Amino acid sequence: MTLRVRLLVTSLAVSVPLTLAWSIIDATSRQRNRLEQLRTAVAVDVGTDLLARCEATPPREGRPGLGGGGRVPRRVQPGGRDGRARRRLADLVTYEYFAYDEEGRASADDAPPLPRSDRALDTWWVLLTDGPSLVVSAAPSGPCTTLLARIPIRSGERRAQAQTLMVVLVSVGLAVLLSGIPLVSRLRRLEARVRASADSQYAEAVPIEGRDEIAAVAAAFNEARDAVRAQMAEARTRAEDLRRHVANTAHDVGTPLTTLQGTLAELERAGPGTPATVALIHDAMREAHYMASLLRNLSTVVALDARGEASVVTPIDLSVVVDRVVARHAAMARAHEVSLNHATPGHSVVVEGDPTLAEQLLSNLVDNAIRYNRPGGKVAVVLDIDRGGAFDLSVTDDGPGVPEEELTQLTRRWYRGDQARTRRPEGTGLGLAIAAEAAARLSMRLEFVRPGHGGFEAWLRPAVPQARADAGRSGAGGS
Amino acid sequence: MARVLIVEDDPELGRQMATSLKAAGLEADWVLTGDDVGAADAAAADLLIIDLMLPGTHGFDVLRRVRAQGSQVPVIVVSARQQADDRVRALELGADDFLAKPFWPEELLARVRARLRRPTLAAADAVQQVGAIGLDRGARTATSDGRTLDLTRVEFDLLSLLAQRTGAAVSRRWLADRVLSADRDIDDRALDVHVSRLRRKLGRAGEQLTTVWGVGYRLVERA
Repeated sequence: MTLRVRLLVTSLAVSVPLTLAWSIIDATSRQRNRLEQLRTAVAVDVGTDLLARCEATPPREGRPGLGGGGRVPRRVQPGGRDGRARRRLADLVTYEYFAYDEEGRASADDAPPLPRSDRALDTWWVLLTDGPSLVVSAAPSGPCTTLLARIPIRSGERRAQAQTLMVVLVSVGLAVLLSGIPLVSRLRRLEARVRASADSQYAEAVPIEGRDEIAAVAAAFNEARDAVRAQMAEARTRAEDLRRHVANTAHDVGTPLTTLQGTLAELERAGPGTPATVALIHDAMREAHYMASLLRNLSTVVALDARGEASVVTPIDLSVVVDRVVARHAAMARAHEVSLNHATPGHSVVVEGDPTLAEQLLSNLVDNAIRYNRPGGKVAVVLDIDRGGAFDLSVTDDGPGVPEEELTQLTRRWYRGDQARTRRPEGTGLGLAIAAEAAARLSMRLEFVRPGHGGFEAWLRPAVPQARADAGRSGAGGS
Repeated sequence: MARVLIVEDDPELGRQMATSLKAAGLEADWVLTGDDVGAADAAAADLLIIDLMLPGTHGFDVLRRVRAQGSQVPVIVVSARQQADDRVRALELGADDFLAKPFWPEELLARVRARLRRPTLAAADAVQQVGAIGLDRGARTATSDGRTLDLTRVEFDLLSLLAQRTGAAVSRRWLADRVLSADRDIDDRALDVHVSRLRRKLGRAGEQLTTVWGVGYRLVERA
């Protein structure tokens, strides 16, 4: 059902019964008033010369009844509340009498049949089709034994009532249509513009007309559109970043794989036990480790881009994480001829978070410390508990380090400093960016420092200073 | 000798894993499928290594079956799948550890050793011998090559703590928190002074007390 039809039907469903009810109430009130007036008039007539007039008037002259009956004088207060009579307009009504003899025969041809009463009453009301009537026992016998007084309902009165009702209904209907037409038109325009906006990927806002409820709907849609566009833009950015990362990773894996294959081929040619063999093996190990790091970072990026929906939150023992990451990088450190040492408090240091992110975060820091070092260099991974009971985890190296002005750029995705590009032309610049995002997800603070001895230092601490690592809890594995 | 049972369908990787564990002094058996793992095999092993993507019976089902038999043998699950869901599911099914491929042999070995022996502070035995250094914690005496040492309280405590964690690097802060007063200097220079004195008093055995760059110190069995 369209809005217009709904409005019309609703208006009619409300106005018709109301109008009818009001008409009935009004008609009933008028009738009651007339009846009171009639009763008063009849009482006055009976008290004066009604019987004499009736017997004096020739009953068969064809004149209807007693002729006129008269009008209710203004000063005669009709029955009912005075207050209501005074508030009305002068309600002058014409009433008439019909006379009947002791046999009930009427003197006028158009007199209605005389109703009978079961009880012996001098005066009683009856309801005839032409309206309520008052029957009066005027004499014991004669042509005016019984008189019937009535106020005839004019045919025009009923027509007038029906006309009033029709006028009201038509007025209501017109009012609804006239107000509904522009309303529906605006709603249809709004619908068309909303659809057009959706079809254009919400590129355009919907114009707001006026200040009413329809304008509020348009404004609400525009707010929702802004939110959707922001989410779409963010999703596009993330998808693009992920696509770029996957493409770069696929590209980056190709080179070390090729190098690895070449190294293995050289190993085959060199044969066992030659001095060149160890160096070639180290080369192969470095490339293999690099590819493994790329794969792990790829998985981590996917996990981070899932925006936490798939994040796992379990107890993480940082002592175990340190042991594992150092074990994972031991071979790579040997291949780079870098010494790798570590220390933990000797008991569990438990925090809550995704253990995969924690391992990859630390792994990327250690990876960088080894990769950008020089042969003979040193890397230290130390997990301690400070006096406040909070953990702090550091990865320190004595390599060339990073210029002070580049320290704040390191966690930007795709950023690679000049020295990094020189020493390691491959590499996506994502390792530290991933580390920073993982740290944030784990509620940790990651800071980079250029120590006094040179080199590079990365610190991990709780993001909230009062957060404490639960020390000494058993059973919390690093996985 | 601890016995490890490996369930890995890749022939080359399975061989490598078994070989590297044997080279580390462990007894290692290797089967290709989960169907080859009988109840007796699991019961006889000190540790299981289960690959997830196995032909026939999936690695999760092997794990589930082992636990359903009431076995509490430590289990390390290995998989090339990187999804967090697999790790969580493995741990929920009763695995003790999850190692994602690729991994170095020594990484696997470190995990195996960790599961076979919980890493805790070594019991502070009353009497301990670390190379040429002897300790009697009850009497609070120390010897070096049989010679009784005249150590201060701090020097003895330093030596005792390092001996408890023989072979492991120990951070400066960890040592300082335990042997120095709470209002010490933050840069722990005082600790270095105490270590330096201790080394001198140990004589030749002082070479067992090594400095670990960026970390702190380590006491080894042999210099």
